Amino acid sequence: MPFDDEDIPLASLNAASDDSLFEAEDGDQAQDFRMFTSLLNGPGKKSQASSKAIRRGEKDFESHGTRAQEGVLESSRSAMHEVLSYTRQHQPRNALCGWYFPDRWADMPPESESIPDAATDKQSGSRTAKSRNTVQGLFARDRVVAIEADKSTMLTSTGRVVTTADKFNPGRSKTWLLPEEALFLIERGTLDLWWPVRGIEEVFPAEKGPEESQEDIRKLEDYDLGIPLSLQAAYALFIGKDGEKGKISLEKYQVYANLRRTGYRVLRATPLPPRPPLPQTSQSLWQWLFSLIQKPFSLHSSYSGYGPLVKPGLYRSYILIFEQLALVQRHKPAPLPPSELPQPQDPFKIFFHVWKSNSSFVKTRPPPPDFQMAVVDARESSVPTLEQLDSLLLSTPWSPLEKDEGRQGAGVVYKRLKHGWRNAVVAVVDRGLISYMRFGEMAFGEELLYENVGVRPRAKRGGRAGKGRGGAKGRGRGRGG
Amino acid sequence: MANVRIDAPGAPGNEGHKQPRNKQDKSSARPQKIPLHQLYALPAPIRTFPLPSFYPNNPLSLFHVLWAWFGQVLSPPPAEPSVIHQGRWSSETRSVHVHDPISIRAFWEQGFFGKGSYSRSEPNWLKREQTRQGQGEKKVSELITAQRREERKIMKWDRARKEQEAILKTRLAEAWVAPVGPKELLALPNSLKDLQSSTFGLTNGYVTPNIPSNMTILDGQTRETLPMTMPTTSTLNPVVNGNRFGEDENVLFPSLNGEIPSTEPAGTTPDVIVSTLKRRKSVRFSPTVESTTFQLSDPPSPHIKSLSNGKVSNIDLTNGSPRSSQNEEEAPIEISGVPMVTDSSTASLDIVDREHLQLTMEETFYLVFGLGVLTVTNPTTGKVMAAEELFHMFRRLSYHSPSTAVMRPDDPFLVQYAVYHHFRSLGWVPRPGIKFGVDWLLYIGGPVFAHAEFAITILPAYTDPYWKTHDHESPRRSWRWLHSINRVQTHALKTMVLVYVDIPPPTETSDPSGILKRYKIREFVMKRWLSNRSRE
Repeated sequence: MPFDDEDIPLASLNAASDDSLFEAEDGDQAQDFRMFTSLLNGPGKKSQASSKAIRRGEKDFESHGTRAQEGVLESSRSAMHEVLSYTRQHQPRNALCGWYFPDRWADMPPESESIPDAATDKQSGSRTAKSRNTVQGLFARDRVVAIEADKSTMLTSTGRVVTTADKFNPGRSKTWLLPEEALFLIERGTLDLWWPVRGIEEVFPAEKGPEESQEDIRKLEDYDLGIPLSLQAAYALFIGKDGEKGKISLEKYQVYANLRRTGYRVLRATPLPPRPPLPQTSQSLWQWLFSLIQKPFSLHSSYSGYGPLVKPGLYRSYILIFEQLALVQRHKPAPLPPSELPQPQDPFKIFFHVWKSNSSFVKTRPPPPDFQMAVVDARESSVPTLEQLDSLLLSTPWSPLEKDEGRQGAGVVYKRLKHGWRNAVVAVVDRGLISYMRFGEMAFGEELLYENVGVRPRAKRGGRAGKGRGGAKGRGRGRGG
Repeated sequence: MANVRIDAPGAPGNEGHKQPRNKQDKSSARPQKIPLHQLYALPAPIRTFPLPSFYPNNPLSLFHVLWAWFGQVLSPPPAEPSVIHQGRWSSETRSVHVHDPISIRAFWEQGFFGKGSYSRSEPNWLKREQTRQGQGEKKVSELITAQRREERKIMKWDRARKEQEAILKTRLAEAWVAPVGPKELLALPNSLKDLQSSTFGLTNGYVTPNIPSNMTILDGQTRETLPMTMPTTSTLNPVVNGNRFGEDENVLFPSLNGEIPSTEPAGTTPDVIVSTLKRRKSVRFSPTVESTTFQLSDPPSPHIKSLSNGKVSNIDLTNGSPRSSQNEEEAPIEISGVPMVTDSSTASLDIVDREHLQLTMEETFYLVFGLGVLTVTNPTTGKVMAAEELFHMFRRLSYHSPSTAVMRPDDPFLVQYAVYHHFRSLGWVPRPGIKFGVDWLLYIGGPVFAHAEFAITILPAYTDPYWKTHDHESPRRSWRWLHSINRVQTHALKTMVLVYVDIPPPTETSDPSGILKRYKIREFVMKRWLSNRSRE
């Protein structure tokens, strides 16, 4: 390392974990197994596992023949062995048993139709009545696995009870899983998938009393009701093309599994709850205001087509000069009423809603998602066109940074612009390797730098005020230009 | 580009630079130093005449305002832009050259246009040349960069040396075994057996010709078995500890224990030994173990390599502690051109400034069409090229075969210029971003104040219904292409911005303002989202 000319100073590496200065660097950190062993040894220490606790250290690139180095290596190695030799046990009471019923909810309406859409209320009365009956985010059509017990902690963000079905339907009170949820639980070893030989009425006898039905099942022979399925069979059953009922594409499953393993809560994206349409007066008021702004521009635009745009004359401030230079149309972000939202097309369409692990979460009524995610195949798709990106971002909620008018420095300008007015994460899957890209809608036209007196440095040592990025310590050969 | 970082005061530089800087510090009064924000106060090469501000609590300021206003009414300043600079079109380089030094400074200081033909960005070839010929020390960004690189290299060597020292120290610490058995006790350096069979001194595994005079000194020592950490052993064999060389002025680094070249005359006189006795504690190791664990040929040792490194060799690092990373941090950016007026007038008599400013086509057109502060002459005809002529020429030149090209609304010059004009008209300073693999870099205020924060990649977009009916395919860019650009930007700590230029359908309008009004610009910020950093 010390002889590598391209290296980053060590101080910056250490600082990286603190202020996420290097968050743009690779997300894949080397695993320090010693941290894991400390987690395993103390059962009560689980809360210590955080991204900050497990951090990178300095790397040795060659053995320098000291026993200290060998000792560190050996202890790390033995820690790894210890971690890997840890026996995972599945408690019999925690084992979940799932039954594959692909056609149980086939007659349910697809999710896109079950939105109670107040804005486009063109359906007949019976249709609206039915759609009101459905629950948003249920995806009942795609729920193909019913599980017998629902006590597991894994189910806090997984599976739903299909409550919209008729009262005495068999399997109504069971938790039903989406294909990606079932496959993830199977891969994790939490769930056993069974192929039913008999009908659902016999696997889940209509609700009489819980004890009674349990005994009924016990009475039957082991494989009378069905046969257990392997992981390969589960993949064959659940992985399919986009839009197939009860299946999910491999890319989407890979993103789902990666996010779940990383500790996020993931649900399929439901269309956003319809916003009350903006009152008509505010629209016209807005247009009126906008026309007021437009007018002075039109006054200035009496120049000849070949310039110069800045008329010769006496100027009191640069604002007038720059206003005459405004020519190319700028983007003005604004919240759109839901009726005007474009329908994003696959694959640039929000598919998952992602929540951070620490937010409180009720799966039937989830809070507003932390991230909106679309999944694309790196080889099938290309960089989105303007229409694709625009409609993708328009389908995400309007979330500008709260304006702090008091602060006008360059750092604030950077922060506002970088946060954007809407944002979405696109997971680019290249044959199993996932790269997440965050796209944000920007509007440089909202930041008129020439009016902003704070961004031009005034102090003796210029640039201090405009820095705004703390922790620039040890940036090394960071940025040129 | 023109960003330079001033060194932290007291940072060890190499000696060539150290001397004049100290002189500067002593004289410390640099009268002509202009602060950056004054030198680069104007965002465009147009002056404004703001009225002085009126303070309601100070009625006299009203008179000040009125006085200034009347002054401007009675004798109005010339209509801005009062100075129109001259440039010459160069078809070979496809750029516009500005030769007048006043115009060059004006374009650079008022809006950061163009690039010196022999410089990285700011035209300062003359100052570099003067410095090279020894006519005064000037702060030029290129030189400061070179100096900073040199210092960084030294810092790395120093760090490497520290690491090697630490490794060596642990190695030696591990190698030491407490002598317990009679045989080991006998084998101790000061033991009787050693003295009897003494052919070698107490080097740390290295052969030093043993000298009887040396031995007599050793003979006086007590024969205790000394752990390496005991300071009393310092009297043992100071020569081999090498401290003597630490104070030598020509030495590269403080020598390690035992790193004594065997060519050193071993007949060290007692007075030398006495002098070293006072200075440093030393350690002593068992020679048998040492020789098995440490070889002179052990890789890699900065001492060996640095001998061949002529640049490092004359730097005295013995007292210079390794420069902490603070010296490497983003120090406030100091412009190279600050002291430029100081002493160049007398010194530059014999050097002719052969540098000119070169403006890209976008910059030229912005200066001509937007601000009207530049006229471009055609060198073949000698006539001034109008904005119209320039516009058509630039558009035509942006095609691969300029002569046969049909003007399209998405020709490269128009798309690039639309973006350039867009950001310029908002107050940003765009500069070409070819070195970062992007189209433009966006500076706030200018490159002397802060690093560029945004790196801009332009993509044309064809959302207009015209393009749908004419079956125009949007160019397909691969994700790999996007990721590779993005990777470069994250490494340079820039924020990647995708700029889509919405191409309008072809039109009959031919004037640039009419055409440019039809373009719409959308910006999207792009960054990798890291799943294990965003979780909490």
